[in-house]
Amino acid sequence: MATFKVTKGTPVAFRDSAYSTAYPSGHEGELFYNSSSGAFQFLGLAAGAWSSGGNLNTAKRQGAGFGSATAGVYAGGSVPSPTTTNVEEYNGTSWSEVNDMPVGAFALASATNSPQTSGIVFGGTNADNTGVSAEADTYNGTNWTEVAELNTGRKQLGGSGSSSTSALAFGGNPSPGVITELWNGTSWTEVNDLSTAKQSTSHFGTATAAIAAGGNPPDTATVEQWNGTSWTEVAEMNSKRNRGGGMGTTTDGLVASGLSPTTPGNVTLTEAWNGSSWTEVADVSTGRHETASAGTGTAGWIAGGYVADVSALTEEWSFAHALKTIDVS
Amino acid sequence: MDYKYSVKENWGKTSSDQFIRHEDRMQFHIEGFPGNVWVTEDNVYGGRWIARHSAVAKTKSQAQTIVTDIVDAAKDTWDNNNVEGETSAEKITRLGSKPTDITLP
Repeated sequence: MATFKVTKGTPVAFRDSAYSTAYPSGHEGELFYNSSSGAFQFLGLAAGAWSSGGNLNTAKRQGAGFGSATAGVYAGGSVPSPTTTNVEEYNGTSWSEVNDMPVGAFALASATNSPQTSGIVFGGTNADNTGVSAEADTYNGTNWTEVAELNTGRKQLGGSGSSSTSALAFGGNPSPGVITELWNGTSWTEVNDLSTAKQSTSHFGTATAAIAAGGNPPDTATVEQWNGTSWTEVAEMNSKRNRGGGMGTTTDGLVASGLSPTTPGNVTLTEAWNGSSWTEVADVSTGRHETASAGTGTAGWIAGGYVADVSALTEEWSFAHALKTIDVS
Repeated sequence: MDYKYSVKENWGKTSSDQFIRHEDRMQFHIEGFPGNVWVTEDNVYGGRWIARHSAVAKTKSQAQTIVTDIVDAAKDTWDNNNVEGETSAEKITRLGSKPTDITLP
């Protein structure tokens, strides 16, 4: 007769299917029994992905973005022509029209990492799109104020910064495309140039730590990093692109979508920067270029842009933990 | 990878739902094109997304025609938008690059 040794099982927690997959979570790795489905599950590693955000009230391209995933600003742009003074604020779900900018412009830049309540936009086209602008305007969450102009007016320039009193403007069109200017809240001062002339980069960061990725002409995958004093070439992206979106910091950033010279056309590719190398991560759902963007390496948005027409789409970058079901059948 | 093709206007996000949810992107490939054409991976999750939105199913050929017609119209608009004396480079700067053909996967 067979003899069985009796052991007592180790109970695991009972949870229902509403178990949160929010990121970050101290529950990562937890094993539990799903009392709704009758399956063992665990909360797996988090992964970033793009999902739909609220559509812009006005479709547009080449505007400037700043703020966060839940408190953003889209300023100016082209609808597609002429330039617009239109400004919209994002609350993480929907866009609302707010006070206009003083002067319309597109292909302008911003202090990308500024909060919604303390930002600055600068450069771009002039209002009737017959030349470039040196205009700079600050935003306090309610009103716009014209401040001191850039020393060199330009469009398709890069921008970074953390507030209406701390910003960096770099590159752009027309030539020479290497000029960098630092904003201290009162005036713009020329500082060290980019190593290589470029425009239409993906850019993000602050006035003391910024990234200028890709751009043209010629189309490039090269990346330069600003340390507060000078630009240094760092690891290249995996693919060339221009007019893409960007968000984050010099140790945790993201470049999304844009125009590829090799496809050619709009790409859905997203690359993440960890301070030393680029890794391809989840694609956007609708490839486009000339989006505005803002946020961090783990939570942000791209909005507007151009595919075969101006776009009102917003896509949100976020992280969530995966709820995995253990299947032993 | 096999795909399904459908048409549905992207309504973005509300306080309670998203046109494309984070978990959708973890479960199947989805890509948007002009004309509200959506290409979704042909699996159970992609099928559920189409059903959830009551998207209108199209054949690949039908979907491609929708996209191509819009791109061709955008090309014509670009070609016909000219400023006297403007160089090609200046036109690209003013309007952006000429729209390019899109081939659905």
